[in-house]
Amino acid sequence: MSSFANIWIWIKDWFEDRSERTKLIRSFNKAAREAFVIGIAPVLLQATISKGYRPYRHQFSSLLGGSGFRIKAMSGRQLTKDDIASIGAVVLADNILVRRLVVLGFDTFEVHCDVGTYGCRWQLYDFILIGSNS
Amino acid sequence: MQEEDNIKWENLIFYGMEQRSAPAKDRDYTNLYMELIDKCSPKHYLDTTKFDSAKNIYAELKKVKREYELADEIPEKPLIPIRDRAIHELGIQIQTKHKVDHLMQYFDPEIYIDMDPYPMERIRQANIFRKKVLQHSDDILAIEAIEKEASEFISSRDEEILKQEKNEQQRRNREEKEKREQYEKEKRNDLVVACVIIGLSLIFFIIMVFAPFAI
Repeated sequence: MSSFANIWIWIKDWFEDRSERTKLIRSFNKAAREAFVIGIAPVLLQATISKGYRPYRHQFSSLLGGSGFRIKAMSGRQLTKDDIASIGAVVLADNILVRRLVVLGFDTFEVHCDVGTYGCRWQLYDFILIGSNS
Repeated sequence: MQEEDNIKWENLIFYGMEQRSAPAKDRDYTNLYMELIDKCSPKHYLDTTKFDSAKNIYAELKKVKREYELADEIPEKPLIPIRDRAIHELGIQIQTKHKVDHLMQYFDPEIYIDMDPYPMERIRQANIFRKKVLQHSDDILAIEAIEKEASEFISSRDEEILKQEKNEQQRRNREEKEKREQYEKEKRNDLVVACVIIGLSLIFFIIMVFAPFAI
């Protein structure tokens, strides 16, 4: 009986997490669109879920894949490593977002642009300890 | 449009974050934990060897923090080994201001000048230690070594202070006792005077009442 209950809880949690992840992606995309339209952000960012990078897995990583948080920058040109790193740094500086990503099963953060085949990725786990100095 | 699966990924650690991450040089830290957590943060160390050390040290600091979660302040004792490790592996510099100020209280020759008899040897020692502290004022390990070396000097100074405080306390107690005795004496005198006045008044009253009958 208890194992059945555990499975039920696991299924419920999984669906809740899926829903939360979708909500997060949607809200991120909405905020990025607004920032681009107003002129705060110089490039349009679009977030999607990717399969992630296996060596970056942690204990909360999504079990059924989809552990990567990928951002595509609509720049219209090939961005340099510095450009991509600075986009990544801006997102990773948001500690709350990073923690939320980790608890929702993401382990890899990826940024690439719409032109070329170059992208950068970070291990999210490295960033959850940083920023909380107290 | 590119095929997203063909992207060549480069794994970054903290690339691009170094400009925002330099710790403030003149920051005055309230305690050792705050200083270590700021100076050992992995975001300051981009080269791989130091990054790994920083990550481990940071994790250890967080572990200590969890152990003392309910305490008002994290004690320095469990942080000392981590601090020494951070100094050796990361090359950080720990602030010495508070420690130097504290030691200078003992090594200031001026405080011994008015002593009777004039403590020539003590002043000479204080000067030597003072010079040493000033020479190594940026090195916490050297400062601690000096503190250890001067422990006898410091404890004797502490004893002197304790002795002075004890004498002061005795003097205060004596003064208080004298005051209390004076007060008691005055009170007693007042009581005698009051009794005399009451007695005289009573006699006067009796005389006034019984005098007509006597006549």
